Amino acid sequence: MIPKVAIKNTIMKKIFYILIIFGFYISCKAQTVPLKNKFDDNLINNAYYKDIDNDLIKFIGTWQYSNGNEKFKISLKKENNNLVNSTLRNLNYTEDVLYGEYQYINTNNIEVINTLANIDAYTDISQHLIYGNLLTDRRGYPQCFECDPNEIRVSLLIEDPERSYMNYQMMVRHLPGDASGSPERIQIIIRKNGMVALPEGAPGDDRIPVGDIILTKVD
Amino acid sequence: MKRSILKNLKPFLLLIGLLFTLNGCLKDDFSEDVESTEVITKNNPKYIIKTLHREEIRRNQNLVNKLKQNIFISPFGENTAGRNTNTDSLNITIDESYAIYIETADGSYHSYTFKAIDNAQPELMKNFILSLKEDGSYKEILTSYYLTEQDLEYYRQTGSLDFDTSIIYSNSTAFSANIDVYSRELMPDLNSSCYDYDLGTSCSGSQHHTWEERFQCPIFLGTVTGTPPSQPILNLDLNCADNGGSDSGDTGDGTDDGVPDGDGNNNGGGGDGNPEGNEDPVITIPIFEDPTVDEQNCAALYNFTTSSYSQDEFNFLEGQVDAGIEKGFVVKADPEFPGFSTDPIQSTNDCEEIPLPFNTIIYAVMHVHPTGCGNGTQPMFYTGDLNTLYKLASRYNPNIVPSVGDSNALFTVYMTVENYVYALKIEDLDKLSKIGDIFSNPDDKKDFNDKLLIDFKNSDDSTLTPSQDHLAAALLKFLEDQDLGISVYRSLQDDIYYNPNKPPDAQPSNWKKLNLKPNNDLDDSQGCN
Repeated sequence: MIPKVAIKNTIMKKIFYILIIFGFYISCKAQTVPLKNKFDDNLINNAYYKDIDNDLIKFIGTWQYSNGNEKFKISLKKENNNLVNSTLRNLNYTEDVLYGEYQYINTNNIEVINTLANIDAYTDISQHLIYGNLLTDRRGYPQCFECDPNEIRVSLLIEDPERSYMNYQMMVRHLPGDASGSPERIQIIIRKNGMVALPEGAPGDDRIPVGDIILTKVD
Repeated sequence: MKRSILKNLKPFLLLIGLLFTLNGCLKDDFSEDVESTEVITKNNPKYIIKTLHREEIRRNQNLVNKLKQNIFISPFGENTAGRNTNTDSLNITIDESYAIYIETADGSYHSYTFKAIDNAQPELMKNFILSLKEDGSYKEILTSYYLTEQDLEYYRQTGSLDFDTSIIYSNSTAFSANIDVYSRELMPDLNSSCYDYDLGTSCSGSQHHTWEERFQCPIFLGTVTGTPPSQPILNLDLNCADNGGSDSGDTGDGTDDGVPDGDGNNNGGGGDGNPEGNEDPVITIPIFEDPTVDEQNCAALYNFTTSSYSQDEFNFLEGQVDAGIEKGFVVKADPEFPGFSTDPIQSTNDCEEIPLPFNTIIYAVMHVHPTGCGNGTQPMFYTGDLNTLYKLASRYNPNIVPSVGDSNALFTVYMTVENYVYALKIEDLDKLSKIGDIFSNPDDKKDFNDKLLIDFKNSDDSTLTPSQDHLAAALLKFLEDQDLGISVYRSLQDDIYYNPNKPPDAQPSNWKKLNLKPNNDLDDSQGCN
């Protein structure tokens, strides 16, 4: 017959090992950081920068601007827990991020860019022409003097596939619809992040609509 | 029973300890390193001190003409395109790429000190000095400094400020005599030496001074026996011709072997053998090492922004601060260096950034961040401007216009905003080259842009438009965090002008290198001059 003390010891040992494993699990599990606090400190290896307040969701959808011949149509989707592997900084982390593609038809009714069909084309979503997740309030440049103090905008990279050297940034503000029938819209401001050193023989004109545009949700 | 409880609790205690340890390790991984910054200022109201680069020295046509006429060793001789001028007979190479220029506050005197390399003894520190004489010509002096590594290290750590604020100055008979005698040493057929001259003792004649009393001495560099051993000992080796200066001040070891005593055991005096009795003063700052990156950058800023060539462009951009379109100029190397040519560039839309055309002779770009469009552009550099600085350096081909040289100090992004002109300069090109990798990786590029945008945000929500000082401090913090090897300088617009009544090397300039205070506020107290 096994003594009671021995049984008790065996049970305690099992509990101990379970707790050890649990402890390792807790310690190794990614640290979750609110996405809007991503740059409060140095980036953390293996962290998960999560859109805890669902600030990105309201930007998801298809949005369109039309004025005569000119048409700008943007499709935005959200990816959760997207892996970022930075060899330069020697760190990995995951984050919630928006990505998208777009179509632009200029005032001469020429379709300059149309990559809408690529919205689900890439497994590496950083390959999409629109990509980003920087949450900022009204103080983020370009500042929003009309925004409420707590209103959150998102800043995204947007790329012209034939001029990837242009370093465009797109600030997006969400304008909700209202009971009076005003549709849900986004206000975008596209600009370059500083001077652009053109490659040899490369053109320097903008093919996409820089400046301030309001797009209405169509899907 | 107690023992049993303790025995059972042991694993739990171990587990808790382990968890605490793991948690502690996690935090340790992300702790920030705090570095202290030491700023050394160089300021002496009695003198104007500048590091001049070759192009600016050449701009002083008066000096060049005098040199060509009056001296037989000219760093501006036939070999104008090269970096160095070799004086074969003396086996001395004069590094003409830069000089320390000193001018008395009243403008009555100036000198140029060049680094000289004795090809037979390259480890020996020598300087070649052109010192203005009363008659308008230049006296030539070749000095030799015997420094131990300890001396040099002391100079690096603590001595620079002392030296910079304490200029060698003497119009004493002894010193002048030696200088004059030594000037003849520059003649090709002379290689003998007859003077060892210790500056430390020469200042006091027969009386010894302590290091603390050195400012009372007309020549102070050096110490005498009995002073703290940590002070640098600088010996001016005054070799002389056979036909002059026989009344040597060398009493250090009783020999005329051309080797300094180094122990400071000299009693001064000497040099009475000056046959001409020349009383012209000599003021110099010894060059022991090449100028720092900061000094080179400051010199390049001075050269460009005090040039008569650049004034129209700066004035034009000052007038464009209220405009809507961003405008600017590219600065191209020109065979008529130090002249340069500029081409106008501008953005195609309001509030848009300028595209910089590809050209391998562009070494700088000037542009304005205007306020007259929409909500205006921010009066600060963005990530694209940082990348442009790297592109300027990586694309520039120094072989097309060799006389311009290829110093990293050339490459500059100027930005004109309200009241100020800012300049981005390279501090470390290896570090800056990282930016090429950043821009080629979408995730790194995204984080790079996003981080600066967040840093630029005003901490005070009630004021949406951040001040220039806030933006500049944010940029500096960003550059520090990213370790990009970029320095930021700024000058008041009003301090950038060309005075046609002043010689090129005496133009007004007031560039400041921007730094961060310990609390991360902007510190603009480090002047270039």
